[in-house]
Amino acid sequence: MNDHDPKLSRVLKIWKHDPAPTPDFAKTVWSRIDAPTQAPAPSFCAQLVHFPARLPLAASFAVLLAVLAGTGAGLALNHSRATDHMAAAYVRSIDPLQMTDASNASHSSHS
Amino acid sequence: MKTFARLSLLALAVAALAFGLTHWLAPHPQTPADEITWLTSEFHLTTAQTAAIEKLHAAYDPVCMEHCRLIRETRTRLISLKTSTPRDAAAYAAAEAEMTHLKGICHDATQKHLEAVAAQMSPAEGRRFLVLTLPKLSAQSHDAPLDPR
Repeated sequence: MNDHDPKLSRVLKIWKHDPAPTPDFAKTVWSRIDAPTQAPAPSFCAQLVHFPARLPLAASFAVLLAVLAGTGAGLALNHSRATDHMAAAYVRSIDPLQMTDASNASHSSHS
Repeated sequence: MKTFARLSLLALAVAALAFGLTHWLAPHPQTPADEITWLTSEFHLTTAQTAAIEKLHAAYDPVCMEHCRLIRETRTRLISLKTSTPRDAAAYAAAEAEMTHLKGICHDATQKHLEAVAAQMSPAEGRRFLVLTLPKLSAQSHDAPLDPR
């Protein structure tokens, strides 16, 4: 079967392409091959500034919960210690044994 | 899995940092100037409960002062018996026994006072009050060695 297009054949025979000469063509090609394919990694400061935006939603919630839990635990411990301190002071103020021990200790230190 | 492990570690580290900063840098709760104010705020007392506890304190004060006086007298007697020459062993033993008995009475009286104060509070707060205060009473076993100081 002959599917040659005579018109296309005629065009292809007479078509010529003469590219403009590029003296450093090879060098350009090699430098493009050697160039990094991705953008340089952002600096640490740039990463830190954009940290929240890069953090996925679930991770953000986890960090927020961790902050709340840690802060809550710290406050609870502080309150517990203050309560314990006040309870000890209250008992000292009504316990004759501790009151006399305390006054005895202060007399010994002054003598 | 790796991401989950990293996220867990990050959350733990953040929680620990938040805890540390809060515990060491946050201003500690102000302790009230007097015990009644502390009792009222800490155990959520009503005005009536506060008034009842103030009455208990007023009634207990003379008892406490009397016990303090007796303890000091007995201690003074013990010290003088211990340092006297010749040492009167029988008198010293009697004074020691009296001191032990006195300390037991003081301990019981203070414990009863704490229980009376707790009874004025709501049941849950009263239990919490006793859990906080009873362990802080000076432990007095009748078998404990005496310290005449």
